[in-house]
Amino acid sequence: MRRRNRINQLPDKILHRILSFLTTKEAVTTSILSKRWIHLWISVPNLNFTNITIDSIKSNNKFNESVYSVLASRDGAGYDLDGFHLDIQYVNHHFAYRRSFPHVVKWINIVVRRNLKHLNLNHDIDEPDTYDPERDAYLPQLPTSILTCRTLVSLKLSRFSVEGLLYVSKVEFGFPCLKTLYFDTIYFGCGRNFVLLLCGCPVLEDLQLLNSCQTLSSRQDSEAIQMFQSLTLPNLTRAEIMETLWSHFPLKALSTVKSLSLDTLKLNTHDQTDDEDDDEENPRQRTYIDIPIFHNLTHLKFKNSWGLVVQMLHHCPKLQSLELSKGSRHVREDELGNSAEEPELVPECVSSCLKTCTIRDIGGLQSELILPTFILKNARILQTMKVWSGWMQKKSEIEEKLSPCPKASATCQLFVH
Amino acid sequence: MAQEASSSTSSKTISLKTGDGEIFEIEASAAKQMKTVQRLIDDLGDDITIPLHNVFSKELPKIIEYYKKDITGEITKDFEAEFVKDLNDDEVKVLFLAANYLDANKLFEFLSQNIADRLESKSVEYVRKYFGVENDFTPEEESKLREERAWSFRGIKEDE
Repeated sequence: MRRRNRINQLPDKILHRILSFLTTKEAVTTSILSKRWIHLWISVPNLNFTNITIDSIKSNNKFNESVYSVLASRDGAGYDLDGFHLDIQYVNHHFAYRRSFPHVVKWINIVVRRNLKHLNLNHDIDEPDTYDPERDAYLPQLPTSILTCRTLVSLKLSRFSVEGLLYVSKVEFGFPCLKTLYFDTIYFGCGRNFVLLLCGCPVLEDLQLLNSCQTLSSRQDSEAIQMFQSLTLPNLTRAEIMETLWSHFPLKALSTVKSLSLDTLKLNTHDQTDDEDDDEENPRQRTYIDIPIFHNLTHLKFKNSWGLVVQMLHHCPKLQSLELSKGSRHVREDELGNSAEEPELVPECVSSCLKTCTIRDIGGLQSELILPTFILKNARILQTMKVWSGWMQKKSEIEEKLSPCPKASATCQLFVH
Repeated sequence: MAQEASSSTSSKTISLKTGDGEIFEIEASAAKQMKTVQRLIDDLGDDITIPLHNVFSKELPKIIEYYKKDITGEITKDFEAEFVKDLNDDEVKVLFLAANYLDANKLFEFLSQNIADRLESKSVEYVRKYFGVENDFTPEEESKLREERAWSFRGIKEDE
């Protein structure tokens, strides 16, 4: 029998690597393996409290006790903390905001002082959100100590509101080391503060904004609008901006990305408060005055407003993968704008780079087939075209109309779902 | 003993000899990912068969398979899931120790995660056996510690 090393013979540093993939609760259980292991878990540089469900006073108290005891053990040893990840499911608002959050804030205030690099805070509540008159808000208040944590490399937050911040000096606001920023359902009481935050993240690589709503007023926020419009993010490689309504959004700040997911219906470059006759039923043709060239873009996912698609394609010389969807909103014929007729010029990426194309929510209008037909006719290296019919539409009807279309690429396969 | 006559470094292969005397070929670019191997190449030269005393013929081919995929940039979550699918806990442990010895960082990280996943909710006794840990607590010491950390032991299986 060959001599084998035991994992237990490895140095602490190596064992930490395994422990760091466990949740904190699991890591703590290793403390009874042997005397050597009593304190080994303490120096694991990540704290991970995920898959936590709080549905009773008992579970809430037990969880609080456990987090405090973990933090106390680490604090006593004076260790820095690399990452802090909380993911909690609450059964109702009372447990979340009255019984749990005051403690969550305390924990965050502790961990941000430990040169924290990765912060991930998620929570969800089984009840629908309701207005809380005591807090004058729907969402819990974000602990402002987070904004002072200058060592952050990644920040992922969901379901907070950032309010009551006084105007902060530009110099101190933001995260100089931040590479990843994911905001899901984050509400800034003052849009200006979000602009300041984003402009304070010069090395950002990955940006995700989901379900947020912000407007800047041309009258009151002119300086912030100027800052926003001149924002550059030279290291940005990935951006996902969906279900997000923003005014004055600077598309050119995203120009270095390799992968982009964009929900264009709700982005516009002008002040929405100026458009009195612009409402949901009659959205104006949104033209971007300034679509930058996306030199590195290979994967594009576009939701809503197909009228912009061809214009966009002319600005993505290296695009390999395109995905289009409309979302749940029914689009009227005149909203498709330019795509009422086949485009005159074939975008360079379509003829020489595009390998896969997916188009969802195709309905019965003739004009909706113009784009897939145009791509099939001109995409010389296209390998896969997937078309999904809209929910009221028969797949066979679309198949009948698209299958006979001439294909520029001999190897192209058409799938209709 | 393989003596490659090719001139370009990217197609050059390195010969590795396991602790039980078998010889395997690996591309130079894959060898670069294993820092221990690279150090030996730097010291001994790339025409000599590199001896790996602590790695054996059972696990080296699997490691080579992983890095073959890595240098073509094809490692995906699906590939990694497939890679460990038919391995039992002990086989993963052997690979992990080999990856540690070879200083093969990417494989090491992946296997650390896999071991953590496998040990999730396993009993303390199982984990002791797996890591090769000798229990040096008295029964009193152990039960006291369990009580102190009671909140963390909910949901952990007990061995019979």
